[in-house]
Amino acid sequence: MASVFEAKEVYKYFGGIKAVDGFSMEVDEKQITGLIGPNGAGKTTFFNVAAGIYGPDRGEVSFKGERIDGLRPDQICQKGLTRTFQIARGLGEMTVWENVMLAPKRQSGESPFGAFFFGQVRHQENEHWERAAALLQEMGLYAQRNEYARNLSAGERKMLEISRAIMTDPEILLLDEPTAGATVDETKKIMAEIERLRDERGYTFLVVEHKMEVIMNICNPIYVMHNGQNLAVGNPGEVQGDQQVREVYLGG
Amino acid sequence: MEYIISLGSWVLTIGTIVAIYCILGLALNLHFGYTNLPNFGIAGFFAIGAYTSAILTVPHRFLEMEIFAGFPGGIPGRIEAPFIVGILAATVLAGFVAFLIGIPVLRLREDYLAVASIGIAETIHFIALNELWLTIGSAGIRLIPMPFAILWPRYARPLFFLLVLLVLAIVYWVISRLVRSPFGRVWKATREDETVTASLGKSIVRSRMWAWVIGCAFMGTAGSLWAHYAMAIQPGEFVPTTTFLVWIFVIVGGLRNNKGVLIGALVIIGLFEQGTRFLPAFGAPYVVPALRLIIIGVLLVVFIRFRPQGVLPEKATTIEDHMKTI
Repeated sequence: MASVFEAKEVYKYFGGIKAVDGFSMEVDEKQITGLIGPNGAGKTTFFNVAAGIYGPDRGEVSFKGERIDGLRPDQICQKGLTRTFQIARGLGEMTVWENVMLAPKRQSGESPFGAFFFGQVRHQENEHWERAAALLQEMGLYAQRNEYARNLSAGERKMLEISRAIMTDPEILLLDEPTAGATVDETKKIMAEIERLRDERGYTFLVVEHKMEVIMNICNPIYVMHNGQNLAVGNPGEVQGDQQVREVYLGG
Repeated sequence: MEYIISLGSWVLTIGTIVAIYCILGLALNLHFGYTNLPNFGIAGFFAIGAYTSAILTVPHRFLEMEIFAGFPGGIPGRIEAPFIVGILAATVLAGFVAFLIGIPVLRLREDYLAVASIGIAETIHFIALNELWLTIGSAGIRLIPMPFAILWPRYARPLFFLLVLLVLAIVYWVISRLVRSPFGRVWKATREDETVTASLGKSIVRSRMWAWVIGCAFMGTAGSLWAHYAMAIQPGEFVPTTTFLVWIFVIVGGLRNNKGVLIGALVIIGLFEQGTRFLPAFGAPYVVPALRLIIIGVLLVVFIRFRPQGVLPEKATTIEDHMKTI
């Protein structure tokens, strides 16, 4: 199986804090790879390095065999890697439809001159909305399409964020705690949606969680991160049976 | 009859000034309302527009005025370009200067950008004050031609008013169109959260730079109209007070709503700032004029406290309306 995303010996220190301390991982195509670890393990920092918000101090991040460390977040997204955030960052003072319609890449109306090619803009907007409307229906957000994003519930904001990420047509989606703040029902729905997207559309996912039970069912393989380093890797059964992982999670 | 004529000219005077301020307000709304760029340097770009247009169009006759006896002579009065060249050059130059300034300044966080932009405007003010070869300094440039004045001197003011309205309509249309377009969505997203917007593949630098340049260019357009309307400009007009007046009426009228900006300009500039300028003194000649600005200040405080979204707040467009109007 081909790996699309690879991190080799990534280091990121903040002063004396070793947030990511030589972490390596690979994500295979059309798989839902999990990344777990206790709070403060360095998962989000690793995500930020992968998505270009920070450059790594040392190490390599590559996507489809091409180095992406050192690129800006927007350049990395243009290459096909989109990430979401742990705390759902809705663009609050924008409506739900504006949020999803923002995401498609290479919109011709996204330049001060392109905005005045009326026919082309209209055509593209129609195309994008057709896709976006179908997606919002799947995600159960269609009824709220004209609401401001700030009026959505925490779970709905998570769904909106995932929808927005999907609208960028990514090849790999990095989801940072997609169920944080969601209710039990919403968590199930979000997880089911992720599996469906993998099965039906062939998306590749890298999902960060600190609640183990949430991703045990859908992720394979699972990487365990602790103090910024690799602790274990394997299928859910192996990870759950690992003595070190049990110690970190259950305190021995 | 005389009363009607003087009322008419009062409306024309105030109408023209309000319309010019409307352009400044719309440009600020693009900067601060839609893209979160707190531009406190409005007066600077207004000045660039006014001076560019004035220097290019002022007739040679201006240099022959007696005050210039012994003056080394500079650029003004040597080009005698037509108005249209003046206003276009004003727009382009204000935009270009904004671009150059934007390269270092737009990297700043919004509060620092606010401070930096005041500094820029003051720099431009002092250039106007001191670079005599270019701007004639504190005496200012006079005899700036008003378009139509030679052809139809009798109707020059009403015609110029219509011209200003036409320019205002164009600016309004262009800004509204941009804000509604996919590019406008990127602007709004930049305003809401830069990290998220960048993570969706949009270049923040590009988004902020275009908003900055377009807004500043229109401030230059307004400056040109002002120069040709007033027919005389001097550096003292382009001070932070001008900037703050624009901020006040945009906040009162309704940030993020272009119609609100027009209402704000009409109320604050039209009724208070200009409309009461010729009130009788009521026996206290120094009190009434000072009172106007006090009232405007109090109005601002009242609005920020009780209705921060302004008279007309931002209105969400439904997707159905968007598809009809895009």
